[in-house]
Amino acid sequence: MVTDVQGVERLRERDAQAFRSLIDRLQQPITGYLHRLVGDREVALDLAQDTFVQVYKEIDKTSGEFALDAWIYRIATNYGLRYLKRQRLRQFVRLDSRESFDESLAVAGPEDQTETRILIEQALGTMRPIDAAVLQLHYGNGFTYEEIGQVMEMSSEAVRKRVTRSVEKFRRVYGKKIPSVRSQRYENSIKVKATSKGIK
Amino acid sequence: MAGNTRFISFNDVKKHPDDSMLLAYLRGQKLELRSSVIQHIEIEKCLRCLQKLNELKQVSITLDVLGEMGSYQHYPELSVTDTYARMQNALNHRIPAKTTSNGPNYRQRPRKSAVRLISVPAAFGLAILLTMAMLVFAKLSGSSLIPFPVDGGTRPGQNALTVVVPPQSTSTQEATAIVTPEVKEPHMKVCSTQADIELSRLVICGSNFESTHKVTLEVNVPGRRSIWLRNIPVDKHGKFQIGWEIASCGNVPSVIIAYEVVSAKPISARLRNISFGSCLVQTPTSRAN
Repeated sequence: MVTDVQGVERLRERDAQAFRSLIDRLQQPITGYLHRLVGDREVALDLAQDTFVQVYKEIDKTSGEFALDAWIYRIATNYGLRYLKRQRLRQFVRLDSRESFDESLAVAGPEDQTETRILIEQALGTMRPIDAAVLQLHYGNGFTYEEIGQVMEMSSEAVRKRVTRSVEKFRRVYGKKIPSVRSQRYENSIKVKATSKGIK
Repeated sequence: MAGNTRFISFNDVKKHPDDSMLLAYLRGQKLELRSSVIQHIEIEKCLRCLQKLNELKQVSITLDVLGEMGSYQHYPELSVTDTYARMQNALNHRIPAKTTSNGPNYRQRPRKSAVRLISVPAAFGLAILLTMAMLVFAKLSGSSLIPFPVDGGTRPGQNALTVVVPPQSTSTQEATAIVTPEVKEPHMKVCSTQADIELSRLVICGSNFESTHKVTLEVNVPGRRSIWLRNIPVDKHGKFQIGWEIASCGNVPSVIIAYEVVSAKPISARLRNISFGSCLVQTPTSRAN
């Protein structure tokens, strides 16, 4: 994770070129992270843009040396979690899976991994967003526990325990999902898009 | 960093590194007592831990697919110029960035729904507050609970909570209206907002169901087999909400039947003649009954 002291200073001075470089460097990974977190490509693009605008607005409130990338991921995570929290109030399912199944997460990559990716995304979608975010950061973005700690403002030990709890939850949900989702595909029925936690 | 004293020694056969330590070991993360964990696993070859380690390895192999997804996913470049302009705009005007989206090339997309714009809990709380205010006012005035004229609105100078009694009403009729218990049959309705319709979403709202139970929906789409949506949670107010993405008018259900089992007594509610945007599906008589 990059901690560029000079770069941060230039950002604080609102150097246009520094912001352009920042967007060039982080746009794809941040958008990818948000896409996997919220499960919607268009929303992810929008949240990524919101993230960079927020960085610009808030950078001058930071001081001293700090982990720039972790801070930006924290903003992105907060946007993603806030979005998911609101989305959780509604539950959407899709009819006619053959028409809607080629989600943005399913179109690319080796064919044999497509279904796995969908199942993983669905399993993560039923978990608590914070748990899903931790798994996305560790497994999706390759962050170490320390780096996740910087993003989530937790100790490494707390991250270690949360990652493990999340992995266990994922294992249970994923194990249940495999037969049911496959059967749903072949029966041309329903894809559950969002969390099944419903209205709270 | 605080260590966990339970795991200082693994020589005692009753003590093992916990799962989080095993996972950290597996994932090559920094770990206090790493040498003890290594000794326990690699030298002492604890079967229990090796088995757990294998389980964690299998899950990790699955989750590692998330890391590979990045290389397949590419996103359109954010327009650096426009994003930067939006940044400056947001800063200069000191207003929320989301409202400054009227730049010439700002990435426009339909918002997911009003849910993003309005806090539902806040709206719900406001509704409860207004209802309570109405009840208190009605109780204090000793009048009917029907506060507003049917045609809506208030006259100039009229308090919004003024009790209006229709001219033909008599006190007897009014009392009758009050004591008549409100019908609380479970029912459903289409509650798609304009934003939902624009996004081709058919949203169904259910009310008066048994709170905290689960509802099963049978969705009948003409020309297809019934589709069952199970375990739809009902909130504490007896409501649920669920939505479909409708690709075409052919996907609009003709009948939706909700089933709820409470104390072994089935409760059902039907929704028929569902209209969605320009689509209207007439319910066949045989299905409707």
